[in-house]
Amino acid sequence: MSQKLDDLLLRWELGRRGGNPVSVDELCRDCPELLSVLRSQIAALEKMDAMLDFSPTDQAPMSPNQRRTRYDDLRPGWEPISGYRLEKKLGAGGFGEVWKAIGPGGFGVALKFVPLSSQLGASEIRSLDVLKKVHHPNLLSILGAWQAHGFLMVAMEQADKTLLDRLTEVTTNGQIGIPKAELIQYMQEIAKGLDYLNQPNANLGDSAKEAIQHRDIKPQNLFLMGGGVKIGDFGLMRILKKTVTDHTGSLTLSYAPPEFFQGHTARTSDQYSLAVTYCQLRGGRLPFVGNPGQVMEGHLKGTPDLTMLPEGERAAVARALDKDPHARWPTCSEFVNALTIDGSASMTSTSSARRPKVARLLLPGVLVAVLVIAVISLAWRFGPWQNKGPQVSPDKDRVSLPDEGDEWPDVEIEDPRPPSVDPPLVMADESKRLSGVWIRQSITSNGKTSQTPTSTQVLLSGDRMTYTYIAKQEAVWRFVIDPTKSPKAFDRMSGTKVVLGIYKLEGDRLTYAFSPTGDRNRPTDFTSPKGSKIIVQVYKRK
Amino acid sequence: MLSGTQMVESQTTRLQSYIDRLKAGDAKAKDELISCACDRLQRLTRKMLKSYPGVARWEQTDDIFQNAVIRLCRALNDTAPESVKHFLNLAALHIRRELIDLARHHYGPQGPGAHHDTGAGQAETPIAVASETTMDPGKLAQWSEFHKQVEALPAEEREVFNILWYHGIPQSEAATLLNLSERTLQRRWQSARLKIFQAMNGTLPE
Repeated sequence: MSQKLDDLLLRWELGRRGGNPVSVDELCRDCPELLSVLRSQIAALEKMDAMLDFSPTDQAPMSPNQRRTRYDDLRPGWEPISGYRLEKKLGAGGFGEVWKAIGPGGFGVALKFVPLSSQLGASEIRSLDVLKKVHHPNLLSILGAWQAHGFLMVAMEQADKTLLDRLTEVTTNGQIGIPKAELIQYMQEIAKGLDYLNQPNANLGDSAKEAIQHRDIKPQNLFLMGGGVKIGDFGLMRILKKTVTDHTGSLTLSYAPPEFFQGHTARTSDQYSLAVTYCQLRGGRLPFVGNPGQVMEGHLKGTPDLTMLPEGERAAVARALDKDPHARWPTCSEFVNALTIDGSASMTSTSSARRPKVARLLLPGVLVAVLVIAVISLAWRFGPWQNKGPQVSPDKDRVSLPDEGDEWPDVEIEDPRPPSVDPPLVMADESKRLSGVWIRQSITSNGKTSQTPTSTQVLLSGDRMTYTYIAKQEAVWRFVIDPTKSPKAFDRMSGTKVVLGIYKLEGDRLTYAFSPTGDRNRPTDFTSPKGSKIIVQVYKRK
Repeated sequence: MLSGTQMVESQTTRLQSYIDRLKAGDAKAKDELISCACDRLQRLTRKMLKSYPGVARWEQTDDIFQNAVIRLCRALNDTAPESVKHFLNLAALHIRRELIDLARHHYGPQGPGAHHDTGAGQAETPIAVASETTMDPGKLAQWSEFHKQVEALPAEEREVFNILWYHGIPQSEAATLLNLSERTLQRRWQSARLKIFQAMNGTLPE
């Protein structure tokens, strides 16, 4: 019986593989007693194949439904989904192309095409279902979503233009930014939409309250419709980041809050991006500028340049741009309200009323810490040890206030030291020393050192680090160095996260140690003891 | 344009040439062999981690490759592959162990992924609720269990599994490589999958 069953299974599998599947009933025509067990074994094999992602055919061509349509195939007149006829391309963004389409009943819609590397998973489809339930006057409605032709297609309301288009209009007319009265109206509406998204909403989920972070607030995603403004593309970032094939990054660097670089999203992350957006729309400039590495560094550590704004607005915006998500405004609406009145007055009342209890308790300590930092900074700048180079190792960044016992909490602060020498000169000189092709000699991990293939190499050029493994380019990362630290810091972006590292240059030898992605502790030396997740790589200049 | 089979045939030929070069003392041939194995590992790792964004938070794929490269380098230093079949089995073994270690390390009882508080305690609920809150150590452990069950297969079936799934070589090519008829190969493949399914009580990783 077992042999017979094996034969039947083999016939079934070979038929399937050859594209001529045989039904179970047909297979068991002469042996109906095997019908049940054959069915269960076929079900088991099908489940296994689904899990293994294994095609029963060796090299079967993809079916028409599986075949991926390229952007080139999108053309006016085509109906990618029954009832939706493409009219013209409206634009292209990080996630895909947007087309104007005529939907059922002759209504115009915007149809977004996002190429997929694979079918959306069950959780992503559930997330899309959640998005379809989101309705708010200031959110661009999603009318439908489909998977076909290798794309996720999302039909949305069609807007007149974006706030970036509006900014272009006003700057063309010689103005620096959108007039405040007009912009504040937009900001109030955007804030209402974001607050609605960001607050847990019982109407969105079946059982639990769900909140949505937009994660990509910028002028291009804010749409003008009939004089009002609506937020577009909400929720797609989260759904698509694992599935899209050609997205250039899961965030827009200029608007990204610092916590994104550390792999976190906070309830106030969208507020940060909204504040950056406000700076651009109001004053025509971004608070952090420069090359990507400098912008990232600015978000993480820098003080925003708010000189494009009137003085009365800067405090409100500065709070929305706080590095600490908890220190920002409780809601986007409160941030925008603060812009409409005198910033300093509103700051005081709202911040003390809404700060968490713990934060209120710590506030006196923090203020003292800030004073201490200021004193240390001034002392460093004007003191006798100026230009002597770094005296404090990075692990001393955590500063305890002296001689005050338990009364004062430890406060984590940024390294208060000003650069000991002119940073641009140091950076330029060090960048020049680092530039070039480096061949990897060894890797030390978990206490073990191993020689690595000599064709593994890294090209350092500008702020780019190109990793090539056996003549095949694997990745390009951006990196930032700080040669004023001891050991010298070398941080690279890995996706949306920062990999903290250190390096040392000894002639033609470069040693680079780094912590696991997302780990906030920078290595302090160039060792990787057993049990450690630090990786140490040694390179030799080519 | 080459058909898939032709591509794999040329890959097999290429693998054989690397092995011949390695035997002749060409150290660079080792790099090429490792590259072939890492390509496959990359695909399998992505497949395994696709449903587990929590893992990506802790271990980026480039870090995994570094571990795999180290492991394969050591293996090739210890044992020079004698044939393509030998290399494919050796590489599959290390790919499998790397994936088992990955799951064990990150989603074992003491693994950081098992205890990580997504959102760092902030009062937010992400949109991708279903996937992001499924920080279920058991699910990734199922992958680990799957790889272990492959390890436990009879040698002949494991060899077929190694070549068809871990290396993604088409059945016709695999049959030639293993000097088997396609029906025999198919029988072993079928038997291997059913054994794994039964050993896992039908509970498979998604």
